[in-house]
Amino acid sequence: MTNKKSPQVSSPHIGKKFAVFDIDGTLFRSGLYREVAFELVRMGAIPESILKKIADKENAWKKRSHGSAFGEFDQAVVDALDNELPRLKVAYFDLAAEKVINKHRDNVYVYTRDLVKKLKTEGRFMLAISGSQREVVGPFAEHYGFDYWVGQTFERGDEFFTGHVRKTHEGKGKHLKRLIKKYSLSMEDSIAVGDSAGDIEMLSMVERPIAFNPESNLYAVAKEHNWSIVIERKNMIYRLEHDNGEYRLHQADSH
Amino acid sequence: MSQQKFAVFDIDGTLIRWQLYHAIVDELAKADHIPPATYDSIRKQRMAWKNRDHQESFKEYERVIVHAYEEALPTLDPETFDALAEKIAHKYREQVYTYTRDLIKTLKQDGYFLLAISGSHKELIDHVAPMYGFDDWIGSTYHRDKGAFTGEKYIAAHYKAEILHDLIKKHGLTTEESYGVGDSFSDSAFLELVDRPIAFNPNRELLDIAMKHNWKIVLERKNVVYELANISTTPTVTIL
Repeated sequence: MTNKKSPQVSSPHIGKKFAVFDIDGTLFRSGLYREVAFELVRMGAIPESILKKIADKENAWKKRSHGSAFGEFDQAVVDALDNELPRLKVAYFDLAAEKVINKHRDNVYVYTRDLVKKLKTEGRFMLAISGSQREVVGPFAEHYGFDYWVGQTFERGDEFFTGHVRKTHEGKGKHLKRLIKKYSLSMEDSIAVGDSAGDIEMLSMVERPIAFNPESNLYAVAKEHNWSIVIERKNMIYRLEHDNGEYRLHQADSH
Repeated sequence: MSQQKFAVFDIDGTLIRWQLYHAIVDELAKADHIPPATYDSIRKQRMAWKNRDHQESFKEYERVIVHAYEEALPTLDPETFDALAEKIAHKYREQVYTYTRDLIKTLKQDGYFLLAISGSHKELIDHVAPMYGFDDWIGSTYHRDKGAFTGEKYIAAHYKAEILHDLIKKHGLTTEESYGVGDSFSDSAFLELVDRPIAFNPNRELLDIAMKHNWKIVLERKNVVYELANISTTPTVTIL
């Protein structure tokens, strides 16, 4: 017997079940992107004055002034860093990324940390798709045993970044589709976990979508489609399961 | 004259998103009022908790914090402490949960007498309670005499039921339609005394009690609030 020649034979993962995770706010308790930006300020690699630009948004969020305050703060950080790219040395950025990983990589949610571990042990192909930069997403994802990961790219010049950015916080569905094809993964029993609107695309594609600590936009979609909702708060994990169009508390576990 | 209705709130972790007691000990350490070795052990315990190393890591962190504070007390100047308390309160007092902030506002408008009972220092709560319209409040007290702390203390977290009894008596309040909101075990003492107890973002210990008594459970995470009338029912969800 000979194997049929097909390009997929080269993938050792053919027909494997997979699970795909968002990172910031889903596995990581903060945002890798934000931590890198603040680390760069601490190092003096980008001017402290950018903090002033985001201070108002940060304050509005900290005081929970309105429902979109976090999104606006998060976007302000992204814009501030993107603006600095042509003046930012790639060497400094790499150093900041390394510092963030060493300092913060263990600051994760228990529910997702344990789920990643369990699914990994079961032999699943583990994917991470993040809107944060490759330089932090890579080491973070490897630390948690992901098989493949996607992060955004800041195009590099010789010494400085060029200012061109290939974003990955949107279009996560497209990335997932590509990876499923690339590794010939099975859709059967597929799992996706995310916490915000940018994750809706990839959650819609899988058989078992989990909205984890969802922000309001994701919550609305999760509810519409009867997705599982899991909330982690203090040392408690709550699982809400849909039941005739209504959510009921299914289980509350402590850790 | 009919008796006034009341609502009683815990502060740290219930209204404020931070533990004020922790914050002030941290501030004391930064100002060199805590020995470096003790501060190291605080940082170690904080990392263990932040990384969720084990179930008891938050409680152990709290124990280390209280120990550090009480160890520093004999050499601490009360005026320095007051200044730090004001600084900390101003830094964190507006960083609140929207559910409790809005409930306080609504109940205030409805004419409720508002009480706060906190395990954090009275000096901290004095800077927080007035701005939310609380009518009376109790915090922990470390006694002073002749410009120094005596070491004598009153930890309010241990007496939340007794304190509420005293406040009800003092102000002639009725428990009819009374509210209580708390997030941890020590709050169950006053939650048991009110008509409408709410376990807000409860830890395991409080959740167990809330489930046993069928108390309302409310979770706030990101910009979504989940209200569970009791553990087996459908949540009502509010998007902020």
